[in-house]
Amino acid sequence: DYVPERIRKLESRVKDNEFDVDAWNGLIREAQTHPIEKARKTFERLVTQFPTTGRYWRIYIEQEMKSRNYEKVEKLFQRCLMRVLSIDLWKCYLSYVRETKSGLSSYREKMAQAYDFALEKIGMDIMSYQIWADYVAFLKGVEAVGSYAENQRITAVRRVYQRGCVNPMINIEQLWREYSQYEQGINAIIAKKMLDDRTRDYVNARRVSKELEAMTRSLQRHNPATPPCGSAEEAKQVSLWKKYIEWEKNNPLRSESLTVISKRVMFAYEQCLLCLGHHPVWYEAAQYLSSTSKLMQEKGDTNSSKILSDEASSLYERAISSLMKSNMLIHFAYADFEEGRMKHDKVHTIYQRMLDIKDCDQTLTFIQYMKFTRRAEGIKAARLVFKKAREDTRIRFHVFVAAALMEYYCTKEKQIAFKIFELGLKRFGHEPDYLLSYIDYMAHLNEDNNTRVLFERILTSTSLSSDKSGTIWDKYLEFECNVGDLSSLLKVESRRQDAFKSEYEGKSTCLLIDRYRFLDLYPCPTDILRALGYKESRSSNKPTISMLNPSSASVEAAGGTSIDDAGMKKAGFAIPDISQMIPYKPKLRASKFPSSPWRGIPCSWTSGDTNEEHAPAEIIQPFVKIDDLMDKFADCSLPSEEDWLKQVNSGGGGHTFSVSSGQSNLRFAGVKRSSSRGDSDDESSVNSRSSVPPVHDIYRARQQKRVK
Amino acid sequence: MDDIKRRERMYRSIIGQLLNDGYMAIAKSLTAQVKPLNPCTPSEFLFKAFSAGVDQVEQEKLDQSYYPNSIDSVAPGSGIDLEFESDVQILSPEAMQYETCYVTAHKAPTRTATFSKNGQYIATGSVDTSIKILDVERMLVKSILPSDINAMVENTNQGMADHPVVRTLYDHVDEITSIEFHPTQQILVSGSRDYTVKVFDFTKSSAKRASKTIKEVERVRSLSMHPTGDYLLVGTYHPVIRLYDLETFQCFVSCNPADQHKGPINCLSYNPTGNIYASGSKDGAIKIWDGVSNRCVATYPEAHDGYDVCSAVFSRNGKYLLSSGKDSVARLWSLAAPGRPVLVYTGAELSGKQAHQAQAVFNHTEDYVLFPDEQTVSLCCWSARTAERQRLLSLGHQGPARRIAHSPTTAAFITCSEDFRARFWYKSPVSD
Repeated sequence: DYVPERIRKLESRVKDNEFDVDAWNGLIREAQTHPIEKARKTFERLVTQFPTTGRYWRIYIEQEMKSRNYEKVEKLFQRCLMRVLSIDLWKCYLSYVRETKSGLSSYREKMAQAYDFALEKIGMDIMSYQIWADYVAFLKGVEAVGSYAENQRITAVRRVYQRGCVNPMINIEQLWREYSQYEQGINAIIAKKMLDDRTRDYVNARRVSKELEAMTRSLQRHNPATPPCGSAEEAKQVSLWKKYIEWEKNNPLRSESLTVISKRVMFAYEQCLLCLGHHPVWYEAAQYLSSTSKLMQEKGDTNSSKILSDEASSLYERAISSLMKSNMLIHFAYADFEEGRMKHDKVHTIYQRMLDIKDCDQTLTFIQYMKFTRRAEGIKAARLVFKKAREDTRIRFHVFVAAALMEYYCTKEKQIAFKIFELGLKRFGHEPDYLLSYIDYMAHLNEDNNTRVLFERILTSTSLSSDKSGTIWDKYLEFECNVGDLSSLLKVESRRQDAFKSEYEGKSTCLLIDRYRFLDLYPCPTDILRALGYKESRSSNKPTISMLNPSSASVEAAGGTSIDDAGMKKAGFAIPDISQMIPYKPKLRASKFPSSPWRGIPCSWTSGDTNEEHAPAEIIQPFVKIDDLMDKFADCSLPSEEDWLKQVNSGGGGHTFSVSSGQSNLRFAGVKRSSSRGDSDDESSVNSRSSVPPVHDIYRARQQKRVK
Repeated sequence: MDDIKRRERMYRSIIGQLLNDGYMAIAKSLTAQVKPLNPCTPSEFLFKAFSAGVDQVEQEKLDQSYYPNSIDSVAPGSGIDLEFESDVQILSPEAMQYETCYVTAHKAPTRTATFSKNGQYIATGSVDTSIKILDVERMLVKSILPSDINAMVENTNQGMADHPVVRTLYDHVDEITSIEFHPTQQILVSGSRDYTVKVFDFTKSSAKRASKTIKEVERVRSLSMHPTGDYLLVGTYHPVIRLYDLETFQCFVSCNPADQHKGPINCLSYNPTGNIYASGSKDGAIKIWDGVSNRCVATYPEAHDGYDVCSAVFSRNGKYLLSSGKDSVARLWSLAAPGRPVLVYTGAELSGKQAHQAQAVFNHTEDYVLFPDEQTVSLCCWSARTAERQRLLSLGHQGPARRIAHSPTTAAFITCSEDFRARFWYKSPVSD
């Protein structure tokens, strides 16, 4: 089979990252050019990958429609319509019904049903005006013979209008106008009353429409659902969705019916889940449902309460059977929710489903499962779960620790806990973390001798490799420091030194520090610690301690942090090194280049270290002798105002002035200075310099005239 | 010395390969030109070395390949890099497919515009001394909604709350010639013909005036902000390029006066890491500067056949420099191989020479090069990798387009014109 290079590349991109939307779009474009038989495979993959993206479903369906495979289209709609509340998809559905069913005798009923169905599901959408308007137009177009039928038609049209006019959406005004006209057309007297009754609700809905429009404006509602990637764009979308949902929760319609509110909120959640299905929004949605359900219960509406609670359950069900298939968090939340409803069978199935997932770490699942069975069915059942866990190959040592501690804390049976630890020791004897948990347990029992025996057993056994035994030695030393006498302490210390001879060579003082330190307290300042090389010996041997005791880690790292912080901000950028440059003070220069006579006097805002020696060669300054300049000012005679204005307005004169070219210019400057001197101190004259006007400034000229 | 030897060996193996493959004539003429010390024998060495090299390069590329779901990947694609194969698939739209989304008008010719680094804001500057800051998202919303809804929104006077022009800044007294956004903060720097550079903090919606001013002694023509936002390059009518520390507002220049241009500075731009910047001048030369020491490290004299250099921008990987000049030709320079451009984008000069400056820019994926043609008021577009001409886009301005700026993140650009208007162009990513 020939596959173009372009497509092969796209396919390989999709293979690398199955959520590469750009590549998928390329594939879609390609598939659209092929007949459906050939493209169907691609489309199927697409909708499996993005099951919540209405646009992709729509493209697929439209492609099938082109080839008139109506049976296939029907099946596709069955697969997506109920789950994907996307306005585009629903519009597509309505046009499909219109197109295919128009020949049938039951067309009118079918179509009306379809419209009712659509309005029920997606009528709340902000863009749903078209559906409402189409429905009304459809109803108006139905033939009605006889006054009874006509009345029925009026009732039907009126019903749709009345529902639509209180439904916040874009273009609601249009619908209202049409409705008013419609009522006027039937009976002007009744119309007034009818409309007056509804005006308040309509105005309310119109207000909410505006707010809703503002709320949803920046939402990218057509984005395909992809797993979180931590980009800024994504974070923005998440926060916008949260804002929108929060807004709906605050009941913008000011409705008194809890059902209406929860319906609107759930619609918002459903819309959000189409785009953010890989985020744990599922939990929030279910949480909302269950809390509303509780509210209903308090109000005494048991029936709705039960419905909502079932809805929450089915929402969880949808989550774990679709995009959240392997997400532990949602599974646990679902299990706890069902446990709250006393449906223990269900909880068992949920855990079982999670455990059925192959190739994934089931440690935490087993631990949670054990905790649940202990709560719900007692310790015996929990032991059975533990037994199952032991037979599973996918678990890590944590299950043993959890089981042992559960026995110890719940049944207070020290011996059983002890046995479990021993059992685990056979399987996880090489895991220092497991050993530490065991040791901790022993130490807490206050059985000093047993603990010592355990230490000896661990340290002499062959299952623990010597490079991992450092933490155990440290623990042993700490233990002896706390409970032992000096001689046993020294003994452990020297044995430890023997075990790590090469590393502790010449660092016996470091060992002394280990003996005296307590929590994050050290017997000498950090500078000395570093000088002793203490840091190195510790970090190589005890990586875990820094995790358990972050404060000691921060002491060790303290020296480096300040540098890191400064470096972090500029990471990856080259910073100009001003020591390699020379300070420079921009100054006006000789009129080598065309210049304006209005150039300001160089300002003195740079620091004093300006080095004029190094100023680039070709811009040597015309150094002004201030005294001579002042003499010139004193000597020069000012031109009369008329002369000067003439000069400016004629335009030619201004251009030829230059600082170096003599008298006229100096006179010119004199005029300007005197005009600003009249009304200002130094500060404002600086300002007037900064806003040097262009040469042909009649406004300025007039202003100066006025000053005179 | 090692380099020369290696090069010698390369040519020898080229000749060897040619002989091996039976291209005697070419081998002979090449031998005559290269004049190798020893006679070359037919060998397959070059092919083997090439195969090994290609494998390794591809492996390296794979290692650092592009994952859309990782945090660093900002824009789609990896940008232009001619060292890797040139048949990269182009998914971004060509110029022809863009549509005008929004038009904003100043009271005088509009001559400068820039995008913020995250593509969220656009600033336009005009001869009427005002600067407008536009919100890209709001402009898109305006264009997506049907016009009757727009009218409705404006009638109910909600319009101001989401008007695309988010700020209008008035503090200059002459034409705005250059604008730059701070890379991370809501700060805008503008240069003007009124001899000042002003710093605007537009965090507050009431911002109108500059918070700080640098007084220059020449008309400011070009600005470029260091990628950290701590330093600013200022190019003026005067040939010396100034570097301002934006914290202290002190000014520095290269310690070697001979480094400087001989004419007014037309354009300045830092590369994405800030270790290099480029300048183009009216004297016809492009200079490459070391961003750390501020010394000139390379000069391309007469880069555009002696015409003014009007723009110079780096590619995202910092390996290439795209320049344009008053000869209406855009050139792509490789920093690794100075001296001659690696690609020349021609065709725009056929309609006649331009009188004003114009800029050549990359699109956001660096698949295309865009250049506004002054005579026909249309936008030329080339494939960046092959210099193949694409269809023209008529810009619809009533006067020459004086500035084009492309968004760094999406398929959007803005054009500013002598007809007082700035047009915002966009291509929606949704495939239809």
